[in-house]
Amino acid sequence: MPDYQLTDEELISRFQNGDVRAFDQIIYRFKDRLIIFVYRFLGNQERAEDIVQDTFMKVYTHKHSYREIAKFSTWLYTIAGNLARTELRKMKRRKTYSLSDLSYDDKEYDIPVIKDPSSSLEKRNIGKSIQIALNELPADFKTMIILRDIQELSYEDISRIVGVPIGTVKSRINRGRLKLQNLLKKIGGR
Amino acid sequence: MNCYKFEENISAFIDGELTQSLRIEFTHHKEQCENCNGQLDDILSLLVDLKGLGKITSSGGFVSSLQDRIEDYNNTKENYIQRLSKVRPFGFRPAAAIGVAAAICLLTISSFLLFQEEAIPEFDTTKYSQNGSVLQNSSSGELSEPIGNPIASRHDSINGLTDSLDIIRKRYDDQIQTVGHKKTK
Repeated sequence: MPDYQLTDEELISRFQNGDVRAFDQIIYRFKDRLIIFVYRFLGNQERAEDIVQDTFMKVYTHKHSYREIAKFSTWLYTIAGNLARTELRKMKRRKTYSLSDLSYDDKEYDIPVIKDPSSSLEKRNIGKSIQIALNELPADFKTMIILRDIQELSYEDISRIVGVPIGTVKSRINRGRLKLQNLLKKIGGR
Repeated sequence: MNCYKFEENISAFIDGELTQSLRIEFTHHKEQCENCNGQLDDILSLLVDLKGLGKITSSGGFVSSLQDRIEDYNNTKENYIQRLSKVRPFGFRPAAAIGVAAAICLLTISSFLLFQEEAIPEFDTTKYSQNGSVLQNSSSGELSEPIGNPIASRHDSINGLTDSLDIIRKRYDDQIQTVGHKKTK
């Protein structure tokens, strides 16, 4: 069976048994999803790529730590989320985390990787405002909003990734959306 | 339903998780309250915008850079002894650290041997009371006399004085008259 037809769990199992090609397939499948997740969390693409590389390195060096009791994607998001939180704390300590990072010349909009060719200036401005509001959101709410509303993960998966009950996830997502909406109004994004 | 309850149930409404009765109450409030109706519309359009955000991908060099890191890791992967040899306890090199540890052990052992029981003069503290006075042997009733004790030497001199007084008493017994008593023969 070709690699692209295998499930995530079958791929990591193959990699644990020494098949390096399976790891390449894992990178191919998850890199963009993880970069979006970490980028929306940190608000900086360069750092987000470093964090995602660190995540894959952790998978590579600790491949046997994964046991098939949870979904592989959950494990991967948990690693990326932990690394992103650590990085966010470091960034806050260094005080390099400011709104000036999100100026009009923001890197996200410089690099030609935005696939949506129809994105208008208005759309870009909304995107920028949302990112500024996301940066202002507490980490717990931010993680859940990104995982649910951008990554479109299920409540069950989010619950496993962040390690809190589903009920808590649901109520935080609801409050997070309201907070985000209020922040957008303050910023003037709406 | 009030506005607070309405806010609490927005996500459940969107996810279609409200019970029939709650859904009716929610919809009823939405039609009655302009603010809440506007808030629901805002949240719905926010969700649409959030979904539209996920349109970024990795930069071109991402995979090659990651592969370089993996290659570096594989090349520098060390065995257990190699990693152990790189450990620097308290900043010392392994050989120096072992030397310091051995020196500390030697010092401890020699101190222990030097201050063993045979090397210390015996001193029986039970013979002396806390204030330094001489204790009596319970069996004989005699005073114990440790060598070199100043209390004991004072005791010697008191004994000697008593003996001398006895001799004088015997020699002049007939001539001594106790005051207040008449000598009888």
